[in-house]
Amino acid sequence: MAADDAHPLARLPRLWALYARMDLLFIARGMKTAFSWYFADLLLALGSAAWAFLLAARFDGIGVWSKQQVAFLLGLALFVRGVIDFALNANIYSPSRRIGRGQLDHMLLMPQPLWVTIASDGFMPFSCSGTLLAGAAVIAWSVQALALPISAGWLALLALHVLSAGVIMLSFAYLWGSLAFFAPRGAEEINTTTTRLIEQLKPFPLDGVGGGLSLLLLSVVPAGFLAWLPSRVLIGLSDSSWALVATPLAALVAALLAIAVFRLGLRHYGRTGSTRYLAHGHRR
Amino acid sequence: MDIAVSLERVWKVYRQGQRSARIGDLLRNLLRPQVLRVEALRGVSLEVRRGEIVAYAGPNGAGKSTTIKLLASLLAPDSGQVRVLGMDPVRDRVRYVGRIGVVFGQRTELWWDHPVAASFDWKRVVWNIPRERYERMLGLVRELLGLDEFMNALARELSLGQRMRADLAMALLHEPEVLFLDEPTLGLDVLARRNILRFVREVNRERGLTVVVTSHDMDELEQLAGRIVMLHRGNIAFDGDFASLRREVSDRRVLLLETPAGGAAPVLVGAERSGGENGRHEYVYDARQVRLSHLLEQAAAQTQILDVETHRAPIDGLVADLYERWQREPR
Amino acid sequence: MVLALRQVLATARLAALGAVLESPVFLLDYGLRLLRVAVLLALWRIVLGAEGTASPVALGAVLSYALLAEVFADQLSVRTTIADAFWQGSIAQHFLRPMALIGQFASEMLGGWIVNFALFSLPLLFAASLFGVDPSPASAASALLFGSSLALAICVGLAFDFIVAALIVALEQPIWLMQWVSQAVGVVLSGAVIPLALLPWGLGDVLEWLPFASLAWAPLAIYTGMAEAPRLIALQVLWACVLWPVAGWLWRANREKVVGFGG
Repeated sequence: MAADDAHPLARLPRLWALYARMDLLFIARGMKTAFSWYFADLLLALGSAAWAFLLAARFDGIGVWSKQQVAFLLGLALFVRGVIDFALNANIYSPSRRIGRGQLDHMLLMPQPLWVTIASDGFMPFSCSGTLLAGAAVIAWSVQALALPISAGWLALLALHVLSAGVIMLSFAYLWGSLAFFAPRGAEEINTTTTRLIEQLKPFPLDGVGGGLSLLLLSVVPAGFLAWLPSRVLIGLSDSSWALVATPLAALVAALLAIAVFRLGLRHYGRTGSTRYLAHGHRR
Repeated sequence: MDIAVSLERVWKVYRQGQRSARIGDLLRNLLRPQVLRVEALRGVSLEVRRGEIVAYAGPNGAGKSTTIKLLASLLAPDSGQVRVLGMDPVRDRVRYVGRIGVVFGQRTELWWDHPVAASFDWKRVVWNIPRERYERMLGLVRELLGLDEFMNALARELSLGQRMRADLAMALLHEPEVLFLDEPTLGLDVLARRNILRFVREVNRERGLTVVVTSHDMDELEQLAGRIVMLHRGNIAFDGDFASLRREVSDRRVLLLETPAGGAAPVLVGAERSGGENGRHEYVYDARQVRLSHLLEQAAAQTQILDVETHRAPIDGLVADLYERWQREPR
Repeated sequence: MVLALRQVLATARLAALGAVLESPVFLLDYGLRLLRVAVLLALWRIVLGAEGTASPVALGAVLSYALLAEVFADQLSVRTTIADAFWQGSIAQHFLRPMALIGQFASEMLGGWIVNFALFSLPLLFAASLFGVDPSPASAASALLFGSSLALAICVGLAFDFIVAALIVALEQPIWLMQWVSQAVGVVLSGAVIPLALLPWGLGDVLEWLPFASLAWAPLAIYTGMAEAPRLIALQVLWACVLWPVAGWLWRANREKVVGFGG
């Protein structure tokens, strides 16, 4: 027998090292690859933040948020996206594709729990760190511009909110992506739509969009948890204890829900399997 | 008897949505699609001994790939039991897939944008293959499958034959005890096909690897396996060796007679003339129905026989006849 | 001519059915888009409705612009399935069909549009008042000129799509990478999300001259009366005249490599 009996968690560092090495080999294959990859990554990062940034620049802020506060929110949005890019690339973040294209089979044939594969298969620290760095830079600049008092507690709060927002993003992707278990063709690209939508909506201060919409943006499409609510806490616009725990609590609920729905889908997949398979594109 | 693979009264039923191609039916398609019940496997029971090579055949849609997916842990049976190496493939998936190898002819396990060597190294880590075993198996597959020429090429740049060899090699790196091959030679040229068959036979002989292989190429299966299981509409229609299959279907032989040029072809009762010219006459007969000596006596009584050749009809033809017969059977 | 039309319709019909046959899941996509429109409109109200905000464009026109951008989203951001054909290695098969390559992909795209337009765009247009938006054009002339400008936008968009596809092959770059680049650039520079007139530092004045502005800003600005129609349409014609020969040249130069993508 080849698979080890060690706890799956113990496998993760070894797997991350493996995927980091593969990623380095991939990006260092040639100057053209490296250049075009980083160029595209930079453009994507700028593209996702440009709209909110340009509006804030043009109108000296958005609503009650100043330019600097919007910059912090943008930085946080970029940083959270950067964490996802860094750790969960290669269609791991688009489960509807892997399911819809029948490529989940590859993951099921690996001798490890599926969650270990999800947690490791998309680790691309060399090719996908651009957004993370850009986000960090924007946060650093805006923290200085807003003269925020930085302490260990504040940094811990930042880490907690980044982690929670990342969990919410991933849960959101898996909740919607699980639809592909039931409609492989129709829902293959559902994650493209959901990701684009949440990417477009998350870099905005959502104060004042209205009760009904706010509710939707904190549930069906939880864009509000990804940058807006965490930013309110981190720059001191909300100081209630409820605001403090809202995002981590939402992350917990979203994760539990996503796990339940994904498992339901997996059971369905075990009954029906996949009737379609696209040979290209399941790997980076 | 040491059983490696066992299926016990396994049922697998799919529900297949039916959609009309008419725009007018769009709403009905969406709201109330018709569903067809497809019984892929209908209570299949099968056992495969350790070290055995079993060919798994049948016409398209007979349930071959469903069986392989059940054995590979990708599908769960609706009822019945699947056990491989004493394990339930779905319930024990993680431990189980560490002990089997699977190759799908239409898929690749290789990393598309990486060299073959990188995919192999990836396999070593994810499957946690001890270094000694990895090096030993790598040495074996490199030599037997001739991988050296493309070990450093990107997977997406390989020819189909190279890709298949690399996939087969990768499936064996962890030294599995059972290997499932689903149409492993699909689209390959004769040489590539022969090399792969030779390799599988060799690994089976040297290491006692149990192999279950599906293919539509009956000649290939006959070369590879001692036993053939044939599926028909989700049931096992035949389980035995190839000689028995020939006897079961029809032991069709070809008889070639050479007579003086210009003479009429002898008329043989019990054989059907299938062609010929210039004194060479070809007949087809069923060896179960009529004896060769009887045919030769008839021919000699009608003309002078200059030469005689006889050989078995290719198994592909026999099986095609069988499939045709099955197709005509009422459902 | 009749044959060509029949070819286009047959291909478009199959493309239209392909997307919707399996299940009603695609309707969820419309639900998400609807949410997007609602949030974007709310955001514009926040941005332009704040006290003391000086905007060169009236809030009503911006809301109309945002709604129209969603109604005509497919047409303002033209994307054929040509990159998918590369992806699936099936581009060579398209060369074996008795139909021009552009015609094939444009027909497939048209099929997808028909479904989206019937089930999402038109209902959204009719439901505009529910979102508090008046979707009527700035004038009758604007509405007429919008039609021409939209057709030109599609024409320029198709040229862009074919140029990107040819560049994927010519530069030997991953397909998704080129698509990222073209989408990121398109969203920011085309005016599909922010009217160019609302960009800071006079950026809009510069961007208006670039080909990207022909994709979305031109038709939407004409419809809402944010800019002069003759100049924008002239620019669209100019860019169509420039980009199509470039696309043709790139395809001819890379034809062998393109076919190679089919394996």
